[in-house]
Amino acid sequence: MEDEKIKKKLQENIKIINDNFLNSKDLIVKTFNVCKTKCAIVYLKGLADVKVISEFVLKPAMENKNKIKGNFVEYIKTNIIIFPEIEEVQDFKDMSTDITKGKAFVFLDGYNVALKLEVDSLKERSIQEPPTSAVLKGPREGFVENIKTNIALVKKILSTPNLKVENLKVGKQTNTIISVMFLDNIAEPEIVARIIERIKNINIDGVIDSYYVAQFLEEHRESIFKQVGSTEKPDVVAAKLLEGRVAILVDGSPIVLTLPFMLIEDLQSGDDYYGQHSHAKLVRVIRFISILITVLLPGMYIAIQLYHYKAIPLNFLTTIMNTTTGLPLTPFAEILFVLILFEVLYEASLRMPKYLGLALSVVGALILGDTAVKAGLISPPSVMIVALSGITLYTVPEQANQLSLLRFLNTLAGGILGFYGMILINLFIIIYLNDFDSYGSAYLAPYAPRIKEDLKDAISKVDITNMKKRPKSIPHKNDIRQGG
Amino acid sequence: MKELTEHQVCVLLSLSIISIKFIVFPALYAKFAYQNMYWCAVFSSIIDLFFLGITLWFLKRNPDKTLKEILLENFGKVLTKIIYFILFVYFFAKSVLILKETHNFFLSNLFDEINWFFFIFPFLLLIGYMMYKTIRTIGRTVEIFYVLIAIGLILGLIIPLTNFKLDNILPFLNNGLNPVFSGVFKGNFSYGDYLTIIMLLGKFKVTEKTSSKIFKYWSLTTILVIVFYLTYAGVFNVMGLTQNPAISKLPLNASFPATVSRLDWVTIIIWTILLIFQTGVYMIFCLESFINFTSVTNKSVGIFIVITLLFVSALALYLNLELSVKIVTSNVFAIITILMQVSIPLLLLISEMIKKRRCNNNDLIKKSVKE
Repeated sequence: MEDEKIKKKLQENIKIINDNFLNSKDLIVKTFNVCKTKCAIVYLKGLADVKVISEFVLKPAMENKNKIKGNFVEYIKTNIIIFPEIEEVQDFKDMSTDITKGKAFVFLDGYNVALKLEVDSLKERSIQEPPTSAVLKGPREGFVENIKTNIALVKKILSTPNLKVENLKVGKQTNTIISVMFLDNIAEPEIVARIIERIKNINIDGVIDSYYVAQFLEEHRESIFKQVGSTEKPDVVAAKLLEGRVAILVDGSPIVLTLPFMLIEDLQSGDDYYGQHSHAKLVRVIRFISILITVLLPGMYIAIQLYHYKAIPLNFLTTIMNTTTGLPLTPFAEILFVLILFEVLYEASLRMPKYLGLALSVVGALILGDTAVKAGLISPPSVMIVALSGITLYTVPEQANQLSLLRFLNTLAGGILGFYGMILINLFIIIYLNDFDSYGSAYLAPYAPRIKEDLKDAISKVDITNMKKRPKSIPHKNDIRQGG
Repeated sequence: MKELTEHQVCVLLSLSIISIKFIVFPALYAKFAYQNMYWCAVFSSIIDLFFLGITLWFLKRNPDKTLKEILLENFGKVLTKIIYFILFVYFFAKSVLILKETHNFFLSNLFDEINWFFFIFPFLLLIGYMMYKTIRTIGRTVEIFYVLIAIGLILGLIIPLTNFKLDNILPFLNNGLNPVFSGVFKGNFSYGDYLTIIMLLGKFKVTEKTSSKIFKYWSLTTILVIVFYLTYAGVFNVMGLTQNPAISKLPLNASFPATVSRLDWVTIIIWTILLIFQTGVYMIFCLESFINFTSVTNKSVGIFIVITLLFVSALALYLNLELSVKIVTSNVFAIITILMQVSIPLLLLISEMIKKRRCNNNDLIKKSVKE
């Protein structure tokens, strides 16, 4: 059917459609007349808006008593079906997909064209502040599941003809629309072409969410580290496009992907750019310290207890010794036990109904933790250390999964080989991260390789007036941001 | 696109300068020159500066050529293989010494006892991984740590300043220069850092400012080394010959009499990172030399052989640092090292002369053809 042209005879066209949908009862074919010319509207029950069809197609057609002058198809388009989005099609290409997405087609007897109408009835979620990236200052709009709305949200911010959108379809069964968005005068064409090529090469039966696409875009698929940026906020996407990045929007997903991706991106938050830079500087340093606490603290605690007790002040050592004497578990087993308990509580609280979640946190954190300490199974410092590392984990929520994994690795290394093990494992990870680039950008830039210009917006941040050039870490065409 | 940036080369050179000098060598110099041991560092640095000058002069004239290309072009295949074999032995010996220093450093600072297998096995695994990755990756990684290392070093120097006594370094050169030169001769193994630049020839983009940048980094790091030796002499005086490893004993003995609650453990950790990196860099040079003097072309096989050799050497010496130091400071080894450190820059000079002669000959031929 895909390659066939639309026939002149109405019945033939209806038969082709019916055959394609295996005479499904959901496929509605409603015939009507416009000035003695037989027409038919085809749509899927439940997906197309019947009210709109009745009000704006059937009713005007039946009420029309004027004689047709000139071209019949043009007359219908301008006098009968008054729709803002109406498209003339000559073949059956993509017609089935469009019908399954809620579009309706009007066939006219004696004419080898059909009119495509945007009448989808599915209600979309309203634009809200995304729960994962709430901000104190700055825009609060978040992406929704409808790709058209999402494109419009970005276009609203970047109102320039240089903003290009390339539409692609992926998924043999889902025919999901994927839009690649970039600023033509800034983004590096080679990078854009590479991304489009990769998306075109995706051969999968269905794309349900943008993370399906993200996995295909990763350059090191075996890696545990995140390699594609993601955000739910149009302002963040716009800012990234202005730096020369490329955005990938997937129909049905409120998460927009951005490439190239660098680790430092997750340390940056929208808030940092909408407030005073001195505060942003402080907050970023705090976030960085939080990452270190999350990853290193449990391992260091074990290492100090087991091997390097000389490293801590005597008073502190005495306090720890007093609280850990008589425990049935070794420090290593104790921290591992509390860490696993923390992960279990986290998983359970995520999946439980909201009203039970509160009860769970009370039971888990207060009763379970307190009782375990009182029963002498675990020591208060271990609970405190894991709790602290658990809180700091969410100062960079985008990296929470990776950091959690690194925390386990460091805990194991600290337990087995003390600081030495931790040094080795972290060097191994840093060397590993230094080896991979994401679409022309070094993963650990601007620190490795050191790019002096880009350090202005890294862990430390300068005032926006001092950021006169685009980041060198990201390949781009036009270097000047201010004064050009 | 070159593998390294100018900055990465400077950082690699700086790390190479400080890594080996702060552990056993201060005590070694003190054995010969007592409170004048820092003069050993001064004279050794002056010698190094001379050869660094030759290296930078050569670098300016040959910005894109690798060492292998230069050697093959001017000295032929056989001599190139011999030179690479000598380079392999040199960097291998440095790696073994650092490996042993690291183990010793760990035993005296981080652990009461550590099984040598638990120490060496993950260490070699990481070094093997570093060798598997290119110098580009290592260059990037040291860039992350160099500020941290600099802070650690400066902290390590500030802590003992309270115990510095000017009397300890006086009188200047009271025993003449002979003991100082003996120290320079015996401890020359810890110098010759310009060889790092020579090994990296052709792997980084050379600009107008490259030489001055390298010189700037070299000067700053060398000053730091001399200040460290001066502080060491000022704190320990003649007792310096037993203070091993220096980087750890200096802050410990100077400020904290107790072994518990040391506050300089951050410095210790940073120092460990530095030693691991330096072993990795030297082993990368070893691998490059090994591939160039043998017919092994498979990188993984090369890594396996070199790492096994390192393991066997560690096993043979049973992680005995004193024995390793005895070997590298023996008269025979010292002479070999000096020959090595002198001959490689001289070879560069000779190659430049050969090139000039060739150019002159070519000009003469062209002239005669025209006539």
